[in-house]
Amino acid sequence: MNLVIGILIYKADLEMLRKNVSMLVRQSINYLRPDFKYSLIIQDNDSGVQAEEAEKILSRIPEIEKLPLEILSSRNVGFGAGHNHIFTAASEAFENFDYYLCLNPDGIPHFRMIEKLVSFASSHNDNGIFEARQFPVEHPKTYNPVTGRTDWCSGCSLMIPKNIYQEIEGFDDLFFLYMEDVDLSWRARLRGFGTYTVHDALFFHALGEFNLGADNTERNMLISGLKLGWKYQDMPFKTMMRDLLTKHMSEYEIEQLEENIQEHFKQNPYPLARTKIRPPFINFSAGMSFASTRW
Amino acid sequence: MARRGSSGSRNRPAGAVNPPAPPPPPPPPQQQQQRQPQQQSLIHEPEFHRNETVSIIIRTIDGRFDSLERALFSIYCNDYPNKEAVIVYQGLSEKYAEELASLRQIYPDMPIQVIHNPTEHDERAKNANHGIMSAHGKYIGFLDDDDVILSHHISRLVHAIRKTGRAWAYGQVCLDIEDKIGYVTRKEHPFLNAEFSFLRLWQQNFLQNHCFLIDLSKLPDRKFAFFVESLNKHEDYGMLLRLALHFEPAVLPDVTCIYKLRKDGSNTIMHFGLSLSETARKEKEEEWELADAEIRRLKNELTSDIYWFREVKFPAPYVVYSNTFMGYLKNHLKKYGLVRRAWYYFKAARIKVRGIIGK
Repeated sequence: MNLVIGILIYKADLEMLRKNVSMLVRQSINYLRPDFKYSLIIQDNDSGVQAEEAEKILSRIPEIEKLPLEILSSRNVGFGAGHNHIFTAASEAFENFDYYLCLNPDGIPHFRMIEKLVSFASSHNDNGIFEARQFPVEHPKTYNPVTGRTDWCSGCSLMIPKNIYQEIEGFDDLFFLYMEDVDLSWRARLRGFGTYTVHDALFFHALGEFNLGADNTERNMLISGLKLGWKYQDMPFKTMMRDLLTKHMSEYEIEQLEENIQEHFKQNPYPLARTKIRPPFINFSAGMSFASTRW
Repeated sequence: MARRGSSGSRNRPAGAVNPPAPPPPPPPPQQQQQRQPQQQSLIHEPEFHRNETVSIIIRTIDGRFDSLERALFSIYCNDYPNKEAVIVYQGLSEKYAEELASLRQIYPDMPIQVIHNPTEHDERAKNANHGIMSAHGKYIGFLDDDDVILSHHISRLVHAIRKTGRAWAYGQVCLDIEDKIGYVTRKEHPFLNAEFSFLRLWQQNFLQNHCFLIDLSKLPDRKFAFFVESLNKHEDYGMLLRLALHFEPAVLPDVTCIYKLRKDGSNTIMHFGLSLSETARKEKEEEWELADAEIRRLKNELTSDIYWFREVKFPAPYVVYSNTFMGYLKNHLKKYGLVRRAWYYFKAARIKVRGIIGK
């Protein structure tokens, strides 16, 4: 097996998931490199509530038998921990694989996405982590379209070589949702790996409907922001997150949250504990973009 | 609006001698020939009213496969279930037409029609009309082969048409300015028109070709949505004027599609190019003058029955793209981020100092 694709679902739009998996079945790499094999692991983070229905819907996709598929169930452990779980399951199921691709269920890969990601990664000696370009609404962070260099990679369609995933110990399960990808990218860069946006690899992501007011999106983002501020010891960012969180949580709840974060770092060292100078890619000055933006 | 007389013999007085048959018109492409009579009669049938399919017509020429494929991908990703893509290819390459047809294998769950107009002339209006004639949908929309629509474009516009009972609806357009390799360097919103004004449209076309959707069942005839074939520049403008004169659109305040503009302007018909020779430049200018004259003629024709239209005072031409002071301010508000950060530094320092004093 060359590539394992992991998709986490939680109260997901199954029609979107069907389209997503349909495009995974029809990837151009199947024709261009018949020796390249990939499999899909879907994990239902809602204790398997959607697992049966998802299996039923996916089984109707033409030629689905070509794609080895497994559906796992778990309680809602969050994005990062969920992908770590899939990665462990993949490592147990397959003797060896080269890449792990974490994919959002609310998007659709372009039929050339895997081909472009893999060829770009190969041309860079697999020495980095590689995100597909979001389409049609791009993330505003800058990247170099020729070299692909970017400050961090989004987790919505992110390919990580297996050895790098193991070396950086995957996602940090401190983050429940949001910004775990920023943290993963920064840790990869601290270890000397590159972070790349593959300009030709497109991943449709329904960002048009992205609504900060909806459910707990803003609250979850701010909590993750506070954790990131703590992890990389950025005092102004922490203060800003704490201030903004007061709209969603009481002072007591915020204090409790910060105590839990501090507890976490008693067992896990801060990534910048041994560094005297903070590297420039750890960029809190750009607010929640964590990179210079194009607009 | 002038109506053309029927060519049928039903109204002819008895005993009249049959006039000599006119020479047959040049045969249109095969696909059109087969579909024309069938589709014409369809739009007022009850079955057609129940049809909820949306047909998106994409006109393309040689050598634009990648951008066309991107446009098609944006249609495929739309959350509206009943949709079809009608690709009208203008060019002489049979091989390219076959290549376009192969796109059906990539999107087997979305109907794709490929219509080939084998000509080397610029027949962009005619191509759109071929697409309209072949479309199976009750709703039709257009998409340039280098632009894209957002995932909710079709569903929101269909919803707006259904909710308001109007014959057409449009959404807002966002402008992506790209470099040569398609890297988006800027994103702007110069075309926002949350309130429709017919008089503004009469002055200047502010609607991008892919921002609207038309409900064919509400039109008197499918040909009512035809582009003006005598125009090869702003060919959709003539149709929009005709449509807007008779039907008020529903307007969505949300951005539903993206207009991709190359930094050097090379993907627009406005582009004259630096390498253009003096003769070619003059030819282009003449084409534009002809198009302007044709638009003036069309406007006169459309309002020939409305005597009072001459008294209408038009608003100042709409400035579509300008660097306003507010735009300048907005761009430079990013600096505010630095001010805010300094403020939080100050706040954090104050908390630290208080902590030390407290201890």
